[in-house]
Amino acid sequence: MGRFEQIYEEHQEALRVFVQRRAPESIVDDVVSETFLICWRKLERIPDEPLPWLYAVARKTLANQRRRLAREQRVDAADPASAVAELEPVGDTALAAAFAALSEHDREVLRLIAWEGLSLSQAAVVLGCSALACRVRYHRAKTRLARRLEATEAFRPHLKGATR
Amino acid sequence: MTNDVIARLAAANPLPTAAPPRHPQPLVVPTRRIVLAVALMAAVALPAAAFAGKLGDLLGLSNEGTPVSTSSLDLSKDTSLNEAMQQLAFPSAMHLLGNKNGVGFYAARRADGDYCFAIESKVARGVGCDFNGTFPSPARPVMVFPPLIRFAGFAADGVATVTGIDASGNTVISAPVSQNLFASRVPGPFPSVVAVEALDTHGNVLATEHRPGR
Repeated sequence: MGRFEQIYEEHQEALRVFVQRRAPESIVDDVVSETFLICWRKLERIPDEPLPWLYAVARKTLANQRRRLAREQRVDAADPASAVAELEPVGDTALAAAFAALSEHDREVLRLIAWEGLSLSQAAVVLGCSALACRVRYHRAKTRLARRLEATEAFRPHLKGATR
Repeated sequence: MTNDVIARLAAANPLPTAAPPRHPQPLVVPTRRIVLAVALMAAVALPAAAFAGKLGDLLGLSNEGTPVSTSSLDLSKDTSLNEAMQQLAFPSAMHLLGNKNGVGFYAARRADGDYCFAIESKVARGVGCDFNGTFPSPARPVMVFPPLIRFAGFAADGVATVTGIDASGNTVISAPVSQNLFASRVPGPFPSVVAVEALDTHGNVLATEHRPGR
């Protein structure tokens, strides 16, 4: 089996999930395909640990797709989120609210660690920063999420008892 | 507290397991006949008028398409592809043979008689030239474009279906041919494909081309 085939077999499911968490289903196939196309073109330059590299390429591809969608849908390119669906935490309303209140900068590093299961050094590859910068970014994001969560839960209304 | 938050976030993962099972999709490796970005300089581009209306005869394809200026194509605006097209001495005009499943197909002939092809879709573009001059022929009735975005390419007259076959002989991907063109509706990549078959309208195999090294 060639290296490309090996990379594809080992990582295509993880890459698809990665994209699914960040993009509407309608463009998942295209983003995954384009990511592997770039992988194929740059096969000789892919590091020994390909998955973070694939994630990084997928993020850039997704950003391009967002810009294209924004243009096509005549939405404000400054608000590309309107053209993109990102999955939120499920089964924990307070956490979802706190997570949504964070910046995308914070959310992404938290996703990479908590959902993709990456190490800090792997996340740094995805984010294109140093491991140290990633560590700082992660701890700050984690702290902000904890504070947001505390605040969210502190103001959670008590629904016990009857209402009428 | 903060570590608890991460554990809680992990537990709220909206896609906690692998995505819904999908069959690995095939990669059709670039054919040996298609050469990408080969440094062949300085051939004189063939004026559009030189073969306008003759593309079918030249290629052995019924679909003559519509002449278009090469510079008007989106792929010409891609810096790396534009450089490759210059190196390959792409003609200044190509023929748009059609669009299928979001893929646009173009063909042209270089001044020295070799054929060049291009495809473009929203997410990928590619250019290449057949320097061996073997397409189309009974032994080589299909030109599959590399490799990942769609199972797509050109097929000679008489080819009704093009299929990608895995090592066990199973059909991984199949695309009907019309107007000498085919493009799968399902996006790639298709790494398990080891051979491409051209079938006639009765399902008879006209030719099989194996991937290099397979």
